[in-house]
Amino acid sequence: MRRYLIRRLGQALLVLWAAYSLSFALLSALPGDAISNRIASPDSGLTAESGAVLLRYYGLDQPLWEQYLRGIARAARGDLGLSLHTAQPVQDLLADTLPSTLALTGLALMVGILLAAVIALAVNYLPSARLRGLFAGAPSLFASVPTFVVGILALQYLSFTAGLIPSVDDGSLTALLAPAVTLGLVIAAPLAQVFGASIRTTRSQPFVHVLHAKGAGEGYIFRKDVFRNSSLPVLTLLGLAFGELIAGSVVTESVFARDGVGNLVVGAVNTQDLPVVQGVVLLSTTTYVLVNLAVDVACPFIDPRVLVGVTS
Amino acid sequence: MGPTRLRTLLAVSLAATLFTAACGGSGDARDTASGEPVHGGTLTFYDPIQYAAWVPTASIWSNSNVAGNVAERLIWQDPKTGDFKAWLAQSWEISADKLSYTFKLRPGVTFSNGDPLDAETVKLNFDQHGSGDEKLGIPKDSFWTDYAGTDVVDAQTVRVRITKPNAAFLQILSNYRASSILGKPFLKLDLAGQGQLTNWVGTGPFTVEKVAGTTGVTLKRRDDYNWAPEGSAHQGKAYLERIVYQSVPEAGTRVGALQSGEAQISRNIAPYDEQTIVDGGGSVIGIPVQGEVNSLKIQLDTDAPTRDVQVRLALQAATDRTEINKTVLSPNYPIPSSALVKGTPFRGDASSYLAYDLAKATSLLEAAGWKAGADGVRVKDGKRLEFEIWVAPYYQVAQAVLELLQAQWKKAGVDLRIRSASQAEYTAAEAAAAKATDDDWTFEQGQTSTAEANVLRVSLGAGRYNALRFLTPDPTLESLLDAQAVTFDPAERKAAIQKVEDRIFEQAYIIPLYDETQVFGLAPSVHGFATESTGRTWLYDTWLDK
Repeated sequence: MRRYLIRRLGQALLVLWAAYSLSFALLSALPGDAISNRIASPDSGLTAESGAVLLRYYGLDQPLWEQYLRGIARAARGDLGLSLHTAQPVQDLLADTLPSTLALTGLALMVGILLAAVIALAVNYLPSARLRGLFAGAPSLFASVPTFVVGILALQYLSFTAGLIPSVDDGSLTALLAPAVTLGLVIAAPLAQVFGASIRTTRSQPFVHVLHAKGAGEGYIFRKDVFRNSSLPVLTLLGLAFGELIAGSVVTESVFARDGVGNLVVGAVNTQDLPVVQGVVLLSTTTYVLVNLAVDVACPFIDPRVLVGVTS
Repeated sequence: MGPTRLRTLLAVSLAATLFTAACGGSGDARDTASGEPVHGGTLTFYDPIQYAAWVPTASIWSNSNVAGNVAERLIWQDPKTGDFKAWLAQSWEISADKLSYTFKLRPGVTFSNGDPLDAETVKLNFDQHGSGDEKLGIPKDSFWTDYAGTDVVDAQTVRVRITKPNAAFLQILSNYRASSILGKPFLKLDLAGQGQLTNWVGTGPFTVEKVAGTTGVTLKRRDDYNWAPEGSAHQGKAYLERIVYQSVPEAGTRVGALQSGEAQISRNIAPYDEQTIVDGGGSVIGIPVQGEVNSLKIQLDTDAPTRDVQVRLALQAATDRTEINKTVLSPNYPIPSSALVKGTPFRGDASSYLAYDLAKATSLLEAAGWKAGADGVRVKDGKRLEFEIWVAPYYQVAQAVLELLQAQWKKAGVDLRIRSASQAEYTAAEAAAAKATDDDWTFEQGQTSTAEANVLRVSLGAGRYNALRFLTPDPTLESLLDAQAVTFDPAERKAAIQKVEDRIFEQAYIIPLYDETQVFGLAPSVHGFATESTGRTWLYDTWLDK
């Protein structure tokens, strides 16, 4: 187990380095940067002379490889550089916006899991075939309606017409609810589909038939055997769904005008604010890697068979 | 949310605008303010942009609706008349050689940290604008040219010196982007420190209470404020207790929130949304933004057919600005008749150059050798008369206007191809084109806002922004631009600006599309709404009825 963990941590560091380097290469390949573009744009009112002071301050006048090495050395110390647009330290910007995004994605995750569980159970256990069919269609519906459409409709009806929720973030829980549900729908879809199918597969296993033959009830079998046996694929998927959540928060935060990492990166991409984009890439990569690491570590506890190939 | 959605909206917009036009203009809250003003209340302001880049010497326009309410200037420019009024300076004198400006500061003015306003602080501010501070990473302010220095005459008197006379200098000292006076603790900060609004220490009627990243700012009233600009509707503290600015990029939310009562003011209302707001009991105010008109600036660093003045004149004649106004804009946008927006001081008259005349356009193109081709597009030496244009992402109405222009130019046999792109793609392509000389970047849509006719020199002058991308400057235009800047007699100055406009339009260097206009939606409870001289909010006199 320890060797497994060390190997996974090593991989995680490699992934982080790759994410940093790749995003640096991609963003550097774009013509210009936030400041050079401002100098070139006649609308900005920044002359070449003034711009040169900024370029020197940010170290953008140095050769690319030097910028890269300095950047990666700084990043290793937890210093992500300064935003080219707001001049604020990137780690401060992230620290300011992260709580709001965590609240949103956290609640969305709960909503998503709850919805997925309800659908998966309904699809398998409802007595009426028609009702089961109805629930079975829900995931494809959730997956196929884009986040911004749900968001705009929610705003139109719940906010402007009914006045139930505020249209922008005012710090209240009600303001968080609509965006969290909007985002929750997106990840509920694959989770429900996989969980539903997994329950179905488990229920058709011979050991479940044996339990039935012994006289155990559906509820007992689900709690004691089916749930644990069918949750492994869901857990793995949950790790992947986290990426979906991060991506979805970009759109959701835009539509609901919420302060957050998603909104930060939209602004940064628009202004080619390279350090901020990179900071967000690093942050999401770290989170993604950690979540998936946690999932991988949790798997053996749920199903010890996973470790068979590793420890031998 | 790309071009497809925009196009759908545009289809709706067309119908809605025609309807708006038929219903006439909209109310002006400044005139309809009723009853006695009351103190108190929180005003929520929805804005499409994110609040960033607060460094005073390298500001951008996006913060302007907030910044002006926190920090103030020595003098106030009346938005209606363009006249300069006393503000932090109670009087000023200009030397006979027009090279030094002496200001007597208003006594009793304090910064929000308690520091008194004195000559030393003013000097520190102007030194950073005029010269920058390399050690702190503070760039020199591009609005400030030919700065010689500032002298502290005594605690309440300050003298600013420049090396060349500049008829527009007083306006620079009144400009919210160029000359805001901030407190000493702020001026000691480096670029990163000055880039944060929470560090701003100003003398304004409001102070910064809370900043939520780049998406929200809360301002709180300063109760001991008592130095409003001369000519303000009242003195003493502001009426509003709080202003909550919120960045809301969704246009639909900005309009809906006015109706649901969540916001009291929304900025950037699209022409097709104006009627919705009026129907909901609110009002729509269009404020022409003084400075350059929104125009296509011919990029003279390309090999395009627009290097031929006859072609440029033809495109000018093929542009029907009245139709643009009636079809995709609203009566809130003045139809351009000059290189400068309606109301800009010393603005000339170019209406004779800007008349729509398709026959003239056709004959000019014929004479220049562009003959009608098989598909209706003109051809010369086997080359089609076609251009590419990128939709400027900064202007709400740009795409709709360009699509109509495409149809208008088609009638003259000109093929205009429109490219829509994200802001990042746009700025990258724009920057690349600025460096290259063999690109297809033939037109650039844009304008610079400054309530001074000298904005033409700043924008078009080859030594300044060089917005026309002259490879070799036009000596006639350059000398006219320079001449107006050193002409101080008002009547002579107006004549000098007219000469500049004549040169611009004889050469058809720019193709005006519409007068740049800031459109605000106001809830019925808002009274006394006002802006400074370039259409940025000044909420000191604004109040809410209960």
